[in-house]
Amino acid sequence: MALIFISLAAGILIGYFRPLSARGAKVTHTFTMLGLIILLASMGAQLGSNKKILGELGQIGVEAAVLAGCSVAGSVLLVYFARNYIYRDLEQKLSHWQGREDR
Amino acid sequence: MTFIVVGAILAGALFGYWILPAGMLGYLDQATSLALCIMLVGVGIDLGSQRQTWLRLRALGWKILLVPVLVAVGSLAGAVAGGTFLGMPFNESSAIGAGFGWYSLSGVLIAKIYSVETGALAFLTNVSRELLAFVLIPVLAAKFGNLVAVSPGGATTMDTTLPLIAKATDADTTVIAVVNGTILSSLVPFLVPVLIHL
Repeated sequence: MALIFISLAAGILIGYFRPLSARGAKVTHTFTMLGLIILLASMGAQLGSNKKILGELGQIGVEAAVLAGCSVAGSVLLVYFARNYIYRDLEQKLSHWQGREDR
Repeated sequence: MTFIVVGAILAGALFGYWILPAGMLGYLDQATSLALCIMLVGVGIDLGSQRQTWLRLRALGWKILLVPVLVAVGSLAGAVAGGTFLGMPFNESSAIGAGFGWYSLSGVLIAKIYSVETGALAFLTNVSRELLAFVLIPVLAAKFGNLVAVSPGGATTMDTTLPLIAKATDADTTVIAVVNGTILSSLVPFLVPVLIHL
């Protein structure tokens, strides 16, 4: 797990203190995508070679739908109950910010 | 992007099903560890360079942080409640909920550091969350107000669901959606590994 946080922290520090040029950002994006594709293909290979998981894909789909539905419901409910409190004083700041961005 | 993600998984699955001998899987470990590091440095660079968003956050005041905090807490609580109903352990359901819709990162992280089965579930759950968000955003904006429409998208409100939020709500809510998505995206690579190891 340490490797995960070290890699992330290194990236955040680079991104914050040495903002990349357009070309640099493109190269970084390519490497990020390459890493992601390798990891996704590896996850796919492990799934494909595991007959037990392949047999349970239908059940995994149902579990995914339940977890996604519950996550979304939790997020929506909490924001719904707090919306008036969050909006108080915020509209003035937002219109001020929009005005600055428009200039 | 969606085609690349689905294509990579399908290509890997076909390779694993027909070609790859079971004993060879162990050799993938070093290659995937390197790929994970490269990907996370790239994700970090992207997060670190979001200066404009952090400036917006400062200008709008810290109260705006309540939106991503409530989305995160609601998402985790909902996933744990759903996981309990399904008989899942707390660490798995909470880590899956902490994907906040970022299906590619949460799926591969959990598959790599915990188990490929839970990784696949995290992937499918967070794909479903994004699909649900696409359906719910216009409905929630019309029935319950603009701010509530930001909540189902989770981390995706800074990219994939942002155009829909912009269309269904207003410019002010779009600014909040960018801040919300950026903060939740920043939390995913930290929360998922911590929660899965609880």
